[in-house]
Amino acid sequence: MKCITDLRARGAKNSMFSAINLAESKNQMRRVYTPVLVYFVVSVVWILFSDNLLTVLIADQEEYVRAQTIKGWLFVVASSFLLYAMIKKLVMALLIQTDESNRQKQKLEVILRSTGEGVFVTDKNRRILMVNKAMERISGFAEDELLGRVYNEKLRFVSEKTGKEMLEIPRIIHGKGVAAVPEEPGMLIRKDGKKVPVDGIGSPYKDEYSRVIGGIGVIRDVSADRWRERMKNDFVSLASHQLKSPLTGIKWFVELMAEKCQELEREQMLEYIHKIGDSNQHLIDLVGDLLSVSRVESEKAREKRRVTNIKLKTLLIEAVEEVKMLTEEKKVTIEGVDAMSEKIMLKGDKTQLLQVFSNVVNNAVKFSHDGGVVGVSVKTKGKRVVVCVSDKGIGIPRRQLKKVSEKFFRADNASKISTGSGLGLYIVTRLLEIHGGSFRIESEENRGTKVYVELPIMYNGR
Amino acid sequence: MNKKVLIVEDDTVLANALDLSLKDKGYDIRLATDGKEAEEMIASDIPDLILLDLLLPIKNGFEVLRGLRANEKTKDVPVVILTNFEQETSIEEGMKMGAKDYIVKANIDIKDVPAVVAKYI
Repeated sequence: MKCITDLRARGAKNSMFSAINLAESKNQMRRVYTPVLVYFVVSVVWILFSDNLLTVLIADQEEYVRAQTIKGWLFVVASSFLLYAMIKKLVMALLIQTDESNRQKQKLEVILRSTGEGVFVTDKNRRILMVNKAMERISGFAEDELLGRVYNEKLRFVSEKTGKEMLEIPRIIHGKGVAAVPEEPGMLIRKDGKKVPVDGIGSPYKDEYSRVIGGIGVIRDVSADRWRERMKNDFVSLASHQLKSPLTGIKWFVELMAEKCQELEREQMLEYIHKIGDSNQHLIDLVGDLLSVSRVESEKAREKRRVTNIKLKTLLIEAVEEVKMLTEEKKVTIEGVDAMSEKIMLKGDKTQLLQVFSNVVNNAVKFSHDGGVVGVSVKTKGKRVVVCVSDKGIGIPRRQLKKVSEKFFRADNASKISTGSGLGLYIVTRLLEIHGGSFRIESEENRGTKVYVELPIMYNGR
Repeated sequence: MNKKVLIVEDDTVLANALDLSLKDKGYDIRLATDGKEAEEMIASDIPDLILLDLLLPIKNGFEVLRGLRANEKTKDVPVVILTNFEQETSIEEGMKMGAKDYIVKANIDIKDVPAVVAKYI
């Protein structure tokens, strides 16, 4: 059985390049005609005119006969040289051409085999003549399992929407004699039964006379594209949900005020206005965070950094300053920044690093109990610095710790304390990645949280 | 006796607006800010109607609804899903799980909420 498959495979491979061979033979034939034609013309001229020439030049009969004999030998020798030179030229040309054609074939085969897209070539009877490595990888079938087989016995495509077999695929590959793509997204059923989403195009396989002699299918595994698309849709869906909440708050309180404006006391009216203000502020913060996400996710976040040397202590003092209002409101004390070393210098974008630290300090204050203490400490670890921001606040439930860096993460116990987008720690993580840093969190519900921010040191005064 | 309405909503501003709007019409309002709290409140005192958000801390709205339907005592309590989550699959799932209605918060005026409650109570 294996032998039959091998023979089929070899036959298939040979057929693949038959079109190229035909074109070469045509060229070779032209090279054969030329010397024959030259030989024929020279011989005719020799026969027609050489005797006449001898008659003019030699009058003696005996001399004439000897000259005829010499002329005969001369013809044999000259034509032998001529033939030798021509045949040599022909053989050399053929050798060069064969060598070049082999190189071209190998090149074509290497290109086809190493291209990232799955390629399969079929004959007119839909039997597979060739597959490349990518096709083996995408389908899970080895080359030997596919060659010589009717392709849709093994390579089965189903609709991504309905899961039904896509019957138009054979028509696309073999039908119209022009390249075509399926009308709907499809999936290839792999050897292990798993379905891989693929994009593809079917083209006719034509010989040198433009006759369709088979089909060529090119497919691309789009699993990663589909995953990105799904992530993007989920993000848009969650973002629009998040945006709608404060918008609904504003809408409802404006409606309530309009409905009850005659009967509301001043105090109640102020309370409604505050609610509108809160929702509005939530909306502003959310839009800001969404823009930050979009910025840190783009490649430009790395490219557009304005890298300078920054004193770590200055950065932390500014971060503490940024959350001053909240700190005063909650009567939280922040300790450790004043006693910090002045010598540690970082290299990075000041705005981005300030965003990292103010986000972490802001979280520590926000989730501390009123009158609590937030500690900031610094340790160096070789060429890196670890800044620890700790609080004794509400903490994060253990089951949710793994998710802190996900987009829109909100701890279950956080929503009762304050509003927030759930994007802060995601932004922190991405900004630290850009700066070659990292982020780690230790937390226990109702006991507090420690956030460790690690960054490379540029200079620490030694 | 006033009809009891449980609002399950983690956004305090929206919960407050719903509370103001429904209290005016004489409903007895209870408020839960996460799925677990909602289940505890339902277990101690079954409401006449539940306004249920979907994206909630601890347990989401679907989990709460599933728990309600699995319990003999609460399986017939009318539930109106009131959320800003507008995906078709969620609407389908919510209705399949026996919600009376699926309303997108941003699409309804606050003055119309009491009428929705009155329709199913």
